[in-house]
Amino acid sequence: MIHIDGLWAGYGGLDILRGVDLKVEQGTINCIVGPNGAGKSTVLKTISGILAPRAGSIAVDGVQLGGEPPAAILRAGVVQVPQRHGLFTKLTVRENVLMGAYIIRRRGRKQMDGRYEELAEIFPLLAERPHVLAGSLSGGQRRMVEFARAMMLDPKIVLLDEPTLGLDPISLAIIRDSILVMNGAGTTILMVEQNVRFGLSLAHHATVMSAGSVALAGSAQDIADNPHLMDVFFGAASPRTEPAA
Amino acid sequence: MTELLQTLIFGALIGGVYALMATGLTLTFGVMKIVNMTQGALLVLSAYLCYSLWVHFGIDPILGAFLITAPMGLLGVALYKLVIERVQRIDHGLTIVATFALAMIAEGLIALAWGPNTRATTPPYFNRSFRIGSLVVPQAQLYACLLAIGVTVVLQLVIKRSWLGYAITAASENPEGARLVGVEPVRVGAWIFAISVASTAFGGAALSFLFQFVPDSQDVWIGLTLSVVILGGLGSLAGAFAAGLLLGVAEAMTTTYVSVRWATAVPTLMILIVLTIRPQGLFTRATRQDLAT
Repeated sequence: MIHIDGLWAGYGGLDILRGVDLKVEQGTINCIVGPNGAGKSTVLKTISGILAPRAGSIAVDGVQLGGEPPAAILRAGVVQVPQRHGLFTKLTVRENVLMGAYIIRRRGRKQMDGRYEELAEIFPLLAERPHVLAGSLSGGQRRMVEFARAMMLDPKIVLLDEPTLGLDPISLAIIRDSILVMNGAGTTILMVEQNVRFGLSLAHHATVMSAGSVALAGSAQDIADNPHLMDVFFGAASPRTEPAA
Repeated sequence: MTELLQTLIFGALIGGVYALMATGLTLTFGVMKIVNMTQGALLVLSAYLCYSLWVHFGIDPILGAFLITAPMGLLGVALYKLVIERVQRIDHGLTIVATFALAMIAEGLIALAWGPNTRATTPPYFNRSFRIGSLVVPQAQLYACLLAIGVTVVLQLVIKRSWLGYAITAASENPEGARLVGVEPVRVGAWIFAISVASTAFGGAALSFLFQFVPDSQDVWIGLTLSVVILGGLGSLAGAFAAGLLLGVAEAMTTTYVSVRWATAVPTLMILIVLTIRPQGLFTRATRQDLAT
């Protein structure tokens, strides 16, 4: 489904990703974990088109998407929920969710409204508080709205950047359920998570990143049981240093 | 009592005109956080264009405003693409310097094109009034105020009820989040400037028959429009309209009951007081700052 090969990307003169290889299978939940600064979020930003790759390729279902603008990535069925501050606080809950369908806005309001109603059955907040400004919601509620917005396009793949960041235990359980619901609907999930326990308990496959490259990859269970996992977090893994051709 | 009512009518009507003048700045300052210092010059340019249409073709300035809306909108796009977008990439704060320089250039070009003499249009209604009992309602101010209400309502509908409006709100608050839903902030910026500068056509038309103007009249109008935008709350069109009314009434009351010399000082003092008590402006709602973007 997603096939990333030798991906290099960064900001200014600094390379953050140094030859990342990653495969994501259809219908699975995949989790990227790793210490701060490993480049986890940068992988998602490069896939979603926010950041252009410097080398390497990103293919979704065999179609090369590396370097395409975000709108083209969305049309390919890939949607990202950013790490934080993803909502538009001056728009209402309903308007925020509808913005998820911005690229298909010309298909008509009826289709949008229908999709909104479908999502309101999964995320009750959409039915309960549609006209409330997003800026007045709690952190967990905002995440719900972000998830619903991501689902407006009925995407093939959802990229979640630290979905549990700053959330209380009750919200954490809601997020877990929501991810499972999205995945249950056939959506492939690629998430980045600082909360290793949460991420690995939910994922089928896991990738451990360190200093801009992949240090470990495998089934989530294998990674959780891997004795070298903590070594990666505490700096024992050595990254690649040469760019991919 | 009659004097008070008459003062309130004059104040409200001229306040509506102030709001009309400030509409463009409300969009660029409030939505994009860009203090477009060319606002005054653009108003004066629109006034001159309406003046030319009036003098050469006998076209009423209000009709003239509709005719120059599209060219002014294109000028707004050019202003954004050629200057604002490029300067913004270097430093957002530099836009104030760049637009200030452009305003000076525009003033010089206007002087070259139309000369330094005082101008004004004199459509049939410019010195006529309606009478309601003992009260006088000047037609020119009334039409300008109605124009202000019309422009505010149309723009409010665009911002609050259209995809373009949602995209403008999204991109101005959270450019990266907007890109993730497929909104291109640069394209949205061009739209904001197009709408903002196009709306100065109406302010300029009102300026042309309510006031006399010269190329450097822009200095007066940039100060006044900034006051309206700040008082109303950044980005709130309805707020800017209400703020314009408040300023107009405050100015009229001061002129009638205190002294004409205090006419500009009292509204300025009012802005200081409002900003001290309610820094977000009179008509904007606060959001949760602990979770704000």
